[in-house]
Amino acid sequence: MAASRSTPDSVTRRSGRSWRSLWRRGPWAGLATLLLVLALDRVALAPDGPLWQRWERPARDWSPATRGIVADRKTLRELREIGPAAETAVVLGNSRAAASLRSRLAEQAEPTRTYRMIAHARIGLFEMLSAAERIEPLDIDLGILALSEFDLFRAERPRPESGHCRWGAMGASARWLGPRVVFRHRRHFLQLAAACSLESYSTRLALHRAGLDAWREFDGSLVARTTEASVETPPPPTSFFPRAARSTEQKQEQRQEALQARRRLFAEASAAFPELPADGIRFQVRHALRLYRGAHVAYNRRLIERTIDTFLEGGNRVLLVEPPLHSTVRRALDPALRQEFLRYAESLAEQDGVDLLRLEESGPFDDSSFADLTHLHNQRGAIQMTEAIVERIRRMPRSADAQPP
Amino acid sequence: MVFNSLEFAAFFCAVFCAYWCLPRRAQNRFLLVASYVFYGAWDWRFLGLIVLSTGVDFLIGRALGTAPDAGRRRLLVTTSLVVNLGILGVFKYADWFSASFAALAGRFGWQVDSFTLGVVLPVGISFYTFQTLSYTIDIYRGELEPSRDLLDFALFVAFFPQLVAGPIERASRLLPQIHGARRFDLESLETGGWLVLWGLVKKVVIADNLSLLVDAVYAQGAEPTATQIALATYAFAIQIYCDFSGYSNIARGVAHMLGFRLMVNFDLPYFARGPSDFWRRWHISLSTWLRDYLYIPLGGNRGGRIATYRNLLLTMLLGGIWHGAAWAFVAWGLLHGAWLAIDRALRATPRAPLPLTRLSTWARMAVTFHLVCLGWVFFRAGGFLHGAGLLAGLFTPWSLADVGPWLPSFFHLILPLALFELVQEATGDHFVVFRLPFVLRVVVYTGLCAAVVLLGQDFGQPFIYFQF
Repeated sequence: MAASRSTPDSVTRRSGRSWRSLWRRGPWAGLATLLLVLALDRVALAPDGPLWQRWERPARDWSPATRGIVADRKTLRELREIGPAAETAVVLGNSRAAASLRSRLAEQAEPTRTYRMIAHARIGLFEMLSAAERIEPLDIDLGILALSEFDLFRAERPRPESGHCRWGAMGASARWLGPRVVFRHRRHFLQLAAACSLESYSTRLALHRAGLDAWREFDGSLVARTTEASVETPPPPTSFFPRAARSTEQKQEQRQEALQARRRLFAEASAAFPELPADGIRFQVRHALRLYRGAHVAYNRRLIERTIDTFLEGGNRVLLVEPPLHSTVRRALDPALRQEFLRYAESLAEQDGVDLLRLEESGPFDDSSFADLTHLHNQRGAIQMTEAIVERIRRMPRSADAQPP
Repeated sequence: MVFNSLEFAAFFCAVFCAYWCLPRRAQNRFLLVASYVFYGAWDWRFLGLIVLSTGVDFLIGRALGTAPDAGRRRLLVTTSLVVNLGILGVFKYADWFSASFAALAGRFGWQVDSFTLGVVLPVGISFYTFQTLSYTIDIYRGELEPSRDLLDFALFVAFFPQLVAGPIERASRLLPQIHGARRFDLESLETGGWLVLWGLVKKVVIADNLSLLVDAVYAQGAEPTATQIALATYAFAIQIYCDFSGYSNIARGVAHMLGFRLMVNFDLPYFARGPSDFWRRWHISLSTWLRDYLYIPLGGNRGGRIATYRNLLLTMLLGGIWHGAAWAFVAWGLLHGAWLAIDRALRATPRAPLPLTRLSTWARMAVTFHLVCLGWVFFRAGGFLHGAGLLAGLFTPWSLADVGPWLPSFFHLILPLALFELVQEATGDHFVVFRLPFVLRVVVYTGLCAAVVLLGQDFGQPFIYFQF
């Protein structure tokens, strides 16, 4: 056997079949597979597809990075079921919105309206635009966008495996970024394209957790020991835009300053929230101090504006909400960034159908409203924020009045 | 641009469509440009090395074809060896030799500053250097006619499916395919597609997932128990096989779709019945290269027992060093050389032949697999001392409880592979999947596609052999 095996030319089929007809010779099985895979992806893995619904339950509980996929798809399904009969408000935002707004409480305060959330940790502006594109045809009444300087000044690339990726958002992004940036980040854009095309690709992280883990992951105890995260080592930047060129000395200086700022905020936050785990505080500190001015701000602005336009073009009203921050983080942030964000938010609110709710100054919040540095995740803060939003919605003009002429 | 990336998928789709629309001569030129683009996507600066190697060997090949006397021919082939091995030495081994010399001098109390170039290892340099060397040596031996077309020869050196990690093709196989006409063939499309799909499953589903376990246990500073080391070593044996043979499958599949036939690089190596059989099945393009251009010129098995053992040891030692500039690879090569020598000695000893029962065949496979795994410890550890420490760790108490949570994932990943390869081995047919009825084949393909998307690690993880 070894003699026949070692022949390097043994690349031809040895099945002994003759391939006389085109039917026999053609790659028809491959073609059929391709069609079957696409059909399964479109039909079975759509938010209301049978395969997805089977996987949804075990996929529900996981880290913030993937929890959104399952919850958001469920929300989209519910919105489709609710239909245009009811007045519906959809909240788009990150974990600050998710933790702070109580939809059931809002519905009790305003029984004629249904509240749904597409809000979770790590959602970015690109994902919010993609979600808006999915929501827009569903005849909702009001889009609530929770935005702050964290969204405007953070430079992050969209995540292909977030469950939210639409060709419209990707095409617009490619146009705004220009061919050079798209070419430089071609690998990322190809992943985004795959996520736009295949449900299985854009939701694969959640699907992994739906009973497939046993196939592919090992207990991470040893890995955890060797890759310990700390406040000293921020994650590598994943922006479309490189930071402005700096000399080595400048880089060193800025790195030192950033490290000092992270250490200072970490110490203050640890004192303010002694009951919180250090890892959680480290994450928030790193997250909070990654705001800066640069070319990414213009891109972020376009994403925000396009999201608002998407809602307005669908005849929906938009409420921009600026969630409050704990005073410890507020002191650590550059006040000029906040001023710039507020000016921008006010300019957006000048459009018909768009309203702005600035909760930090006008809201009834103090440090006791916070569960941690950024989240109003206790009874008091979340109730206060929900009440403030419902109150503002009541005072907003109705949809018909908001339609542009 | 690695084979398991979406970037490569887009690149190949574009190349495939354009390629089959062109006439034959233009096809070769187009493939050459595509190959340079493919390689340049890593680091365009290293394209210069390929061009240099191509130019030198083409000219030497031409000169060898017309050189009248043996002395001049020897001079020419020596020049080719010096240039090619010189490039390899500078980029791959200079820092290691320098650091090793400084360390050795330090042992004797001499203070020597180690001189390091600090250059990045160009991807695929070991593969294309051996490929071009085989070309000039074959012409020198009179076994090959020199190529007359520089651009065709450049394509032979840089052909993108096998440029970065082989198979190390011989000019006598690949150049005629480049010179000759190629025909678009629907059957090749399915054969190539199957090879690509199966290669992707091996790489992104099996190898990349197993790497999580292997990396954790083999990490510097980790303190694994004996059972964890053993399981991680088995996992690495499967990982490196799936990683490299997966790459080779994709390379062959891609070439197949372009009308080229690359050599089989892996032939179910873990079913080998002994060390010699293992090397007939593992990285066949390298083992046959070492046999033809090193072992046989050293004398092969024609100089008596001791000379044969020496030749085996030397060949495998150089095979180990070919993999990388580290003492761990030296140890790995020597281990394999020693096993080949012992295997040959045992086979030469007159004794009653063992009955060839199924049980004895399986026993021989098991022994061979474990000997190979022993070598993998050094290979994966990367350092001789680290590898030796891990081997020592195997002699501490064993407890299945240490690996309990890992076993389900481990078996989920390797059992389908083992079953499929068992069928391949039993039937002697690598393409046994084509014997299935149409519907069943579609089911298998669909299952594998789903596995790649749902069970695969992130696309674009590099292949292990790219570092060599």
